[in-house]
Amino acid sequence: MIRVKNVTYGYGEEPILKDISFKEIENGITAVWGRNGAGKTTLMKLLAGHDKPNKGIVEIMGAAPYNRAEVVQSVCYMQENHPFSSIWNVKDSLRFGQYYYSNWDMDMANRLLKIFKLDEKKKISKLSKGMKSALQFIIGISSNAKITILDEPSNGLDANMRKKMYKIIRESQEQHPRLFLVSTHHIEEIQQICDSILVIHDKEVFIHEPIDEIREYGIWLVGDKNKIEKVTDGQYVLEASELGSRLKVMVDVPFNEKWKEIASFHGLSIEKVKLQDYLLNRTEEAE
Amino acid sequence: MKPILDESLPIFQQIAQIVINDIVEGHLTEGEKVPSENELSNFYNINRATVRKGLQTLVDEEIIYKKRGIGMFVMEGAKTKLLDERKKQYRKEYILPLLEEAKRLGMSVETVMKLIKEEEKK
Repeated sequence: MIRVKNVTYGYGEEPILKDISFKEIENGITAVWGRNGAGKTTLMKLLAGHDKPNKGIVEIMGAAPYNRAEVVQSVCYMQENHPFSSIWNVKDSLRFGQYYYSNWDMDMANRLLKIFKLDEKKKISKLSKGMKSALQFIIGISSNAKITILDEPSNGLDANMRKKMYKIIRESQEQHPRLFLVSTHHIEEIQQICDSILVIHDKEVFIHEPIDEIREYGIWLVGDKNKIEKVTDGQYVLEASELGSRLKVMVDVPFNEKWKEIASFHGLSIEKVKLQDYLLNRTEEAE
Repeated sequence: MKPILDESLPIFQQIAQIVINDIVEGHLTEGEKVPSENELSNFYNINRATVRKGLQTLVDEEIIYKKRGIGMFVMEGAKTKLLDERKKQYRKEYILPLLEEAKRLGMSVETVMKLIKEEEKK
């Protein structure tokens, strides 16, 4: 559904995205992760046809989206802090959604307004940050667009609202199979509903894998310094800190039986690294 | 049944473990229908492909089997098979750590045996 091949984008000498390509993304939920300024938002804008790549191919269901209304109609891109008209209230934005998206579901939109306790008469410019995020989310879900792109949908929402949001995304995807691209800083929370993860780092695609495989990676080992150094010899150590004769390391290997046995054999403690920490460390190294 | 999932194992393996535990503990009997992909993905709010992968590992290990269009069912003999595997694991997961910790604390095997017998009497 989404194809990106050798795409470079930017002004002047320093590109914002540098020759990026990834395997075609199909129906399902893909998490987009990257540090601030990595190029996530730029990529989303290219996919939504807001901008045109300097080089390379961006295709949405076989066609380039830039300046092509008929292509972009199958994409609902909800930006972080989406620009709405300053005179609109909540209801106006939903009417616009209904007018614009051919598969718009107004019943769903009204149900979600209640869940997120949004007043449809309220001016969008008067909404709190969290409530505005909720409205953008509601439009994204109700659009039923073949490709739904949500940039940081959970900004300003509390844990309870975020939890509801993940459940709604999963259910919506199952009822109306389509492609969700969701960027988030709360990767820990959203991972369990995702199929795959796309990590943008340093203007490039750094990881694009099924999420099940990535979340298995990264272990903490703690114990005697000499033993740790021996078992991690030749492995990729992402982080290390010492406390007396003890050493704590984060190693880029899967948390599996083999490593549990190695740890137990040498009397080392072993634990799984949280996905967020793992990604932070992976992207640290590559800087 | 586990109320929530954790970080201990990949999610698909946790799903397989949940079904295994239900069989071993007798909540699911041989020939009985296993919770569907849909039920499990709703219960834990997880991606359905992940649930499918977890259940597939049990199909591959011949713990459960598919009936086309109806669902998945517990295989005849699954419980005995799982119990046998667990007994093999018992030594590794319980006896060895027990002896290791006793050694660290300077306790003899006799002392450990005595403690086990005392505990049993309670």
